[in-house]
Amino acid sequence: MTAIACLALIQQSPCTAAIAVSHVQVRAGDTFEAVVRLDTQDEWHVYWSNPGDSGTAPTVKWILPKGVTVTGPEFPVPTVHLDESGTTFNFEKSLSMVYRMKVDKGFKGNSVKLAGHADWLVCKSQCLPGSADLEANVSIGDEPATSPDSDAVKAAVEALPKTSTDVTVSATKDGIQVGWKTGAPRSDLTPYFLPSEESSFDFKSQVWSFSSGVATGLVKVHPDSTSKPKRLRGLLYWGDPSSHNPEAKFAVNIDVPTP
Amino acid sequence: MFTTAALALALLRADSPAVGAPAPGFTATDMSGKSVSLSDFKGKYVVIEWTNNGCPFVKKHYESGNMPAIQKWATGKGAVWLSVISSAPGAQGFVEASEAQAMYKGDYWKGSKVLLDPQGTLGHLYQAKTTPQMFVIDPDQKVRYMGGIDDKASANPGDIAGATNYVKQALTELMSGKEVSVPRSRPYGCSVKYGN
Repeated sequence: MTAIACLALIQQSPCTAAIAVSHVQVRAGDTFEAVVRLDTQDEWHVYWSNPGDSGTAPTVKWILPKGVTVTGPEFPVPTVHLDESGTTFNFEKSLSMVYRMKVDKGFKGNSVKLAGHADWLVCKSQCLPGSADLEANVSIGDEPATSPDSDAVKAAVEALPKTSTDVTVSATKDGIQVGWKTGAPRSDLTPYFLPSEESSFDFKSQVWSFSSGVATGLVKVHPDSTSKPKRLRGLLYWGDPSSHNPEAKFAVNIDVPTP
Repeated sequence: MFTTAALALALLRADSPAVGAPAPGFTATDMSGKSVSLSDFKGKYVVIEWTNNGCPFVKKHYESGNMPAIQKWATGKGAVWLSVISSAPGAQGFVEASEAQAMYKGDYWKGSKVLLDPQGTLGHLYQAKTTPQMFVIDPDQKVRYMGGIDDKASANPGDIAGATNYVKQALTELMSGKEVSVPRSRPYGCSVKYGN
């Protein structure tokens, strides 16, 4: 993994950025993963796709050759942080954002150069902006070949919440009713819905009920939302949302149309 | 068996100030040590801005000249502009009165008064979460806009040119006798650096 210190604050930066790719060589038509990792010093944090009441999500602007397309980022499960100024969804120590790179079958060229400009906000008792230019190269050949970073990339992919459509969604007077079809995976714990988009649904207003092991939640539209969101996107989350221990929480992705 | 579990995380504090409702009244101290009350400004439009001079989002609007330009425009129209610093002592953005007087002047700041709120009393009253965060209050002292400074939630000064400034838009509409087209938006920025 190629580590690059924040450009503006080489020595004192509380955050560094790095890029890793799953393969050093792929075939035209293949898909491979690129991971952008932000490592923060103790007690500093960066933000999820929905930062919550303050902060902003990190971004990567990619410059890719013609014939290569990117989807993402996909985020791991954030920690919910509450303080005097509100609720934020963030990551301490490290955040690995996963991008999927698709090489067209008709790609012309011997290699794919990935160039990305990463921007982030890192906060503790103060907030600082950071940025870095990241670069990686993947050859085009007859056979795919994994990179020395493939294990790290695989771990980042495995840390992503799994996608599930095992939910029912129905409209209510001022929000959305979410039901878990086959019973909550952790019926011993209160679930939470974490909206992955800013100002879509209100994290703070949700109320959950349980009946015969089935969890049903009422989630209201965020008061800052100008219209009812067309999709319910986010995480259904069991466990202690403020825990920094990944084992203490369980989450699945949901992305379904709203009624 | 049917049980209900409310989300405990919701219970931080009571409802926020609301658009159309009376603005919460307050008395605070400005950077010159004078007492300032919201009621002093009845009959005028009032803009309240939460600020923190170390926050990248605040820097975006101040160092580009965007915030002082809007302050100058608004006060030129007769509005009162109150900049509030709710950073706790030792936290980012905190300034002593003398430091505030040295900083909040000239081309950097064109508002009416800087209110020092190191205990976070005013910030909590208005439930300010971010810097910047904006409120527009009408001459009857009702909240007519609350939220972000504009619709581009970034710390990049390059985004200012294409942004819709909600405060300027709200004041323009109100002063023309119109309803505010966007009375509420998501505030964006750094968290307000309250003390624990």
